[in-house]
Amino acid sequence: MACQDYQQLLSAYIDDALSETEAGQLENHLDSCESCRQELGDLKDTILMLQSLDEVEPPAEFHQKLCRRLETEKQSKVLRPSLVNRLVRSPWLPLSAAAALVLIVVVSFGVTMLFRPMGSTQLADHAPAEYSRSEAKDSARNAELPPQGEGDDGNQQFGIASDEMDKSSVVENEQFERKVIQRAQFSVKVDDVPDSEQKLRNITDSLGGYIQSANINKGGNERYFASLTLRIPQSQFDAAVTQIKELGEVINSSTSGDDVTQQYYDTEARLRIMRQEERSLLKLLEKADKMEDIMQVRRELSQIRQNIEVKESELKRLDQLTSLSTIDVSLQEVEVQGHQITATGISGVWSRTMTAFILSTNRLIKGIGNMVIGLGSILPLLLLLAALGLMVFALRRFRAKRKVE
Amino acid sequence: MSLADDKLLEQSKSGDIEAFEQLISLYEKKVYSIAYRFMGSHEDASDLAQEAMLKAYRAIKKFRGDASFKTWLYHITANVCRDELRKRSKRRETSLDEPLVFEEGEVTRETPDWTNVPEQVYEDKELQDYLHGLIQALTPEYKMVVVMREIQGLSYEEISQQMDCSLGTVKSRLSRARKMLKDKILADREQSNKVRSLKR
Repeated sequence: MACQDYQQLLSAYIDDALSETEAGQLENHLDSCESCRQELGDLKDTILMLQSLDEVEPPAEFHQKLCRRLETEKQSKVLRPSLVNRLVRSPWLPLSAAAALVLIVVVSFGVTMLFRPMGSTQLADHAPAEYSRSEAKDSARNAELPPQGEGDDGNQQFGIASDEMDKSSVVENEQFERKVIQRAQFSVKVDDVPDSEQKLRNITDSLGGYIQSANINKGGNERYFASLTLRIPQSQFDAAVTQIKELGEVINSSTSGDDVTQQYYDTEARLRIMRQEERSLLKLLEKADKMEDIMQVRRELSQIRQNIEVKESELKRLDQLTSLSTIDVSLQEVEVQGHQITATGISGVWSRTMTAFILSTNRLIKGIGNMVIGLGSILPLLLLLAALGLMVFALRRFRAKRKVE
Repeated sequence: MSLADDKLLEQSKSGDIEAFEQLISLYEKKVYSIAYRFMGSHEDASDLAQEAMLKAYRAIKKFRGDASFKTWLYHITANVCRDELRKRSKRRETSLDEPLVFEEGEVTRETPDWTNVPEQVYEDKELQDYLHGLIQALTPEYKMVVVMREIQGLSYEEISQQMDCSLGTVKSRLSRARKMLKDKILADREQSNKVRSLKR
């Protein structure tokens, strides 16, 4: 045996863990080998040093922390019966948790699917020009459904009101008139602004409308600029739009329609209810003979009259807005080329740059927002996938464990 | 174990938490020391020593007294630390000499510098820290045998049971670990001698 082999025995020799023959051989070798003796001494020194390592003082808060943990351990032991304890430790826990998660996702999906169409019928299907009675009835029914949260008085009143409106409308006529606030906005480039402005006035007159406001300016570059607001009867709206477009080159146009049908008839119905209540209050007032009662009824009467006024003015405003459409027209004079040197090409560079910068920044922000929204919308799916993955993982681990056992 | 301890043990078995706290306070320091030598840092030692004692509390009804309570408790401590060390080595903790790779390039980890330890004139505390650092630098398998043998004073058989390996493995691992420590100490000593002679 070489020194190296003997040296491997030294550690066990120090611990008295060698067989008698091994120990004898080693001792023989040690007698004759100086370097192995040295090695033995160094090893012994090392071991002594290691064994002399003191015990370490635990930090001051150690005992307190331990006691607290023991205390909570005891409490949880009392609270948690052994069955639950076993369940928590069982390998089936991740599996059943995953299954529960899947169940929750599926159920919540189903529930949202169930509820979605109910909420949206109220808003959908405004496309046909006539707001049919049966639809109105539907929405009235929907309104009658108990509200999701706490039922407030306003909502209940609304339910009754819609019903009332329903009955009366059967008597009056079969169909509601759609109430839409029409707005349009045009920017038109014309050769001669004052001339075009006059034309606009003629158009408005011929269609039975009026000019709500008009503004003509002469800019620093000797060019006119005009902006007008026309009120045109609803029925003539399309005719007006075509004629305005004929004035010159349209550089910008937008039209919008704000459908206030529901708002309009709701207001009307509420008004009717309030008038009825006013009448019954008046009857009460005739019967009342005690001063106290009279005062009480009067107070209520004045309250309801105030409300009636508010609703009446609201209805009036809606009527006005819907019977006449609003058209904003701005007229610009076409630049006459070569007439004089203008610096307009350069003047806007800085502001245009800024605008472009802001625009693209906004787009970026919007894009990020959309990404977040997208993430949110696929979250249920991701959850489902995660749950499935977890299930597979748990199953695999469980099987592997079984195999090992 | 004295009679008083036996009484505390009985009370603990019947669920008396105060008796258990009293009983354990006798061994707290040793348990903490074992955990500290195993884990290397005070935070880990705190956690695992507490974990061990909680485990002991949970299992105390099963303690039949085949060995002394002390031995039983130290065994649990070693078990808890062994499990944690194994868990960590599975996760492949960064080794001490392996440079951490950063984007800007490699940065060598800073470890306490033991090269300047003067021969034999260690302050007691310094020596202790030095040795502790040496133990921590060992890989988990070697560290475990060293702590079990030199700090806990377990026999080869006990170590083989705890580590779930053969007696031969224990012997060879212990032998190699001791040799590594001895070589390191000798090398450091020589280095410091050189430094000193250069200074002179």
